[in-house]
Amino acid sequence: MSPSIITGWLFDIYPSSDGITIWLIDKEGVKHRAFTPFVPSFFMHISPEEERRVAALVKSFPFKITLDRVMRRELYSNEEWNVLRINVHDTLRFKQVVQRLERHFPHYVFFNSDIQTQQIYLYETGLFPLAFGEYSINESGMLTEWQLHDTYDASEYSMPPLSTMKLMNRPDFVSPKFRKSYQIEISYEGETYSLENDQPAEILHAVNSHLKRCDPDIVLTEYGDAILLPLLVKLSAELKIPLLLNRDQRAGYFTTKESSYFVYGKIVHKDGAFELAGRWHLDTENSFMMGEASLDGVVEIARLTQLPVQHQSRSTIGTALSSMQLSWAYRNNYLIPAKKREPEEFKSAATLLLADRGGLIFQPIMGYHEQIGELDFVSMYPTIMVQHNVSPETVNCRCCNNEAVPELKYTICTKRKGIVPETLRPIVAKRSFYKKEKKRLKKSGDATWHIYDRRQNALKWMLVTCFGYLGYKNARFGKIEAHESVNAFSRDAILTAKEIAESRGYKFLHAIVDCMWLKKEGASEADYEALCEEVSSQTKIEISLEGIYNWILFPSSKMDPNIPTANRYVGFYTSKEIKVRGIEVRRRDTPKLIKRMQGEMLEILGEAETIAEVKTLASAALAKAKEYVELLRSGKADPMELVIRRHISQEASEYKNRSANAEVAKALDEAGMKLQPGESIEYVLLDSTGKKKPEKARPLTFYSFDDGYDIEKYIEMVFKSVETLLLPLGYDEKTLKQGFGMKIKKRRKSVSTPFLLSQYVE
Amino acid sequence: MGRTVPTFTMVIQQEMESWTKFRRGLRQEDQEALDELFRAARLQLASCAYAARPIPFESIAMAMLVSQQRVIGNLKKRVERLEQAGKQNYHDAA
Ligand SMILES: [Zn+2]
Repeated sequence: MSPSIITGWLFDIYPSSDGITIWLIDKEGVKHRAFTPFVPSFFMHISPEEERRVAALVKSFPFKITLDRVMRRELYSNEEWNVLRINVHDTLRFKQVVQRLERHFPHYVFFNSDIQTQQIYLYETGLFPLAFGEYSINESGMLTEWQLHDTYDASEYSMPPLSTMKLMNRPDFVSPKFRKSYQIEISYEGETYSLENDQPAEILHAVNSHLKRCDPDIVLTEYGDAILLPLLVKLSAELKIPLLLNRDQRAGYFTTKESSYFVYGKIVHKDGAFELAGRWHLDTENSFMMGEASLDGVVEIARLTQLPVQHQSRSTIGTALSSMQLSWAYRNNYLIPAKKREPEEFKSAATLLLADRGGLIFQPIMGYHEQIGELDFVSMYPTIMVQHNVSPETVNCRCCNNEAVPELKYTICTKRKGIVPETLRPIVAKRSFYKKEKKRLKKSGDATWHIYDRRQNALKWMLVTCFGYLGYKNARFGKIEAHESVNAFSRDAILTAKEIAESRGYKFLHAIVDCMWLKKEGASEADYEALCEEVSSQTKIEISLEGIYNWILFPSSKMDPNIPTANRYVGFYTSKEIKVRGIEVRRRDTPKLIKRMQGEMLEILGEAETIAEVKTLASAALAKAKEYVELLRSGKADPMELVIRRHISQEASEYKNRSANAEVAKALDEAGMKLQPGESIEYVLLDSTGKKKPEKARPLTFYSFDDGYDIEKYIEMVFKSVETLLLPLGYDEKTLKQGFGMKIKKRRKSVSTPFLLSQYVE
Repeated sequence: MGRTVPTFTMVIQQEMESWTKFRRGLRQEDQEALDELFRAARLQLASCAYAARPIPFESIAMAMLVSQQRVIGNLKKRVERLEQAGKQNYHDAA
C-alpha cells in the first residue's frame, strides 16, 4: 500500500487488535480501512503505597500496562488532584483490566473507567462520526494525521454518498417478532428481491450475493436487532456458510442483550443491539431517533455527541447527553467518576412527586372558548439551565453565597460555568438556527427544508429530556438540587407571565408548565406579540405566540364530568389548523375506527369560527357518529379497525386480575410468545363483560374474521368519544342514546347534585 | 414525552380518602356536598402546589373557601341582576 491522503468522511470506528479501526469514505464513495494504535487509560486517586499494590497487580497481565502520575480536576470541588493513570496497551482488553482492578480495590472510586475505548479515542482526539477532512494514511494502512474542515457542532455540513440495502421480513399479518418462517425481502437501487424460505442455505447464498453486489454502507432493517440478523447468523453457523454482513471480515458483531427500563415511570422495552463492522446496521423498530427523526436526525446527534452512528441510533437520549458531557470533561481535564452498576432506571413517578413539586399546572376552565391565544415558552428548561448556569456542580457550590434560586434560596456559582449548561448551549443554538433555516427555506419553496426540520426535531428530543436527567440519580452528572432549581425558575417564570398577562387584561384559562392559554375579547396578534415581548424580557426566556384559536375545547375529566383535566384539549387556529392533545383521536390506544369517527366529527366542527357555529354544526357531527354506531351494530365493521393496542406492564404470569390485557398476555404466553414488560400487545375485544363468551378478547395473531367483536363495548367507546366533544353542549350518553333511537339501560344511579361549585366558578 | 403529572391531585386524593369515615356519617345530600368541596379544591391545583405548605390540608381548605367565595360573588351578581330585572318588570307593570 502506498501512502495516501484521503479527502472524505469518518464513517465507522471500533476497537480492534491493532488499536482502533477507522473506516473512511471519500468523495467518490470509495471505502478505506485504516487503523491507529491507541492506548486507552483510566484513573485512580490513591496514595503511593497503594500505587505499589496496583503496580504489582498489573504486572500479572500478559500484555503491556503502564502507570504514571498526572494532574486532573475533580468536578465538584474544582480541585486539582494528583491521580494515578493506568494505561492499557490493548484496546480490546481495557474492560478486562478495569474489572480485575475493581475486584482488588472494591472501595476505591475509579475514574474514566467505564467508557468504551472508541469513545475515549474520539474524546481525546476530538474526532467525531462523519467528520469531513483530509486523512493521511501511511504505507502500512495506519492513520497518521488529519486536517479537519469540520467541527462537531457545525450547523452546515456535508454527507458522504451512502448506499443503502433494505433487508426486511416480508410484510405479513403477524408481527415479525412472532413469525416462524423466513421470508426475506432485499431491496436496493430501486429493485426488490424476494427470497423464499424452503432452503436456508440458499437464503444465505442469496443474501451474500446481494451484499456483494450492492456493497451497502447502510443495512436497514425492521426488527433486525431482535430477529433477522441473529437468525441469519444462527443459520450461518449451523450450515457453516460464512455471512458477509460485516464489511470488515476480521471483525465480529457487536451485540447486547435486550432490556426493559423506566422512562418517566413508564416501562420501555428495548431489543438487544446487533451492530456491524464497516457498515451501519440501522433497525427502524429499535431506534427512537430513526422513528422520530430518521437518518438526518441520527447523523445530527451522532456528530454532536461523538457516538458512532449505529450506537447512537440505539442509545437513549440520556446516553447521548451524557456523551456530550464526557467529551466536555475530557476537553477540560475533569475526572469522570465511574457509574455505579445499578440498573438504568428513573425514580418512580411517586418518589419523584414527593421529592419535587415540578412545574405549575393551572387546571383549565372546562368547555368551549372562543378567541383564545396560546403562548409557549421556547425550550423552557434548557434555556433556564443555560441562562441561570444550573448544573450539579454549580448549585450550592462551595465558593459563593447568593441565594439565586427563587423559593428554595439555593446558591448558584458565579465563578465557573457548569458542565450541563455548557453542553446544552450548542444544542439550543443549533436548534434555533435549524428552525430559522427551515422557515426560510420552506417559504422560498426549497425542498431541503425537510433536512433542517428533521435535525431540529432530533435536537428537540434532547432538549425535552435533558431536564429529566438532571435529577436522575444514576446520571453521571445529576443532583436533585439542580433539578429542583430548574423547576423553581420555571414556576417563577410562568407566574411572572401570568401577572403580566392579567395586568394587561387577559384571563388566564389554562397553563401547563411552559405554555398557557389566554383570553381577551378582541385582542389582536399584535397585542399578543407585545405581551410576548414583555414576558420574554422580564423572564429572560423567549416566549412566542403559538397561535390564536377560533375555538378551543377543554373537555372534562373522564373519571368525573364535573372536574377539568390538564393537557387534554382540541382547538382550531384561525388558520383552520387543528391542535389536539390527549383526546381519543390522538391517543395511540384508541381503535382506528373510533379515531376515524372522532376525526370526521372534528373535520365538521373545525369549520366553525365561533361557539355559536359549533352549536349549529353539532347536529351534522352527530349524524356522523350515528353512521358509526349503525355500522358497529350491523356487525359489519372491519375488525382490523377495532384492534386495541396496549403496552404490558408486567410478565404474563404476574397478572393477578382478569382484565382483557391480562388474558391476552397469558394467551400469547401459552402459545410460546414470551413478552417483556413494555412490549405491546394487540387484540380485538370479543366480550368485555366476560359473561357471554369464554374469552374477553383475542390476540390479533389468533384472530379470525368470524370471531366477531364486542358490539356493545365498541359502541360505548363511540359514545365516550362523542361525549368528549359534545358534553359541554349538553349531549351526554343518555341524550345521545335517545337521539339515536336506542334503549336506555339503567346505569349507576346518579344522585342529583345539590350544588356544583365548579360550574359556578367561571 | 410525558408531562409532569399534577402532583397535588394525588395529595387531594389522599386527603379525600382520609375523610372516608367522616363521609360515611353524612346524609347522602351532604356527601355530595363534601365531594363537591373536594372538586372545588382541585380547581386551585397550581396555587396549592406552589404554596407547598407542610400541612396540605390547609391549602386544600383554603382552596375550597376561595372557590366558594367566587361562587358567592357570582351568585350575588346574579341576584342583583335578577332584582334589577324584577324592579324593571314591576315598574313596567305599574
Ligand atoms: Zn461558586
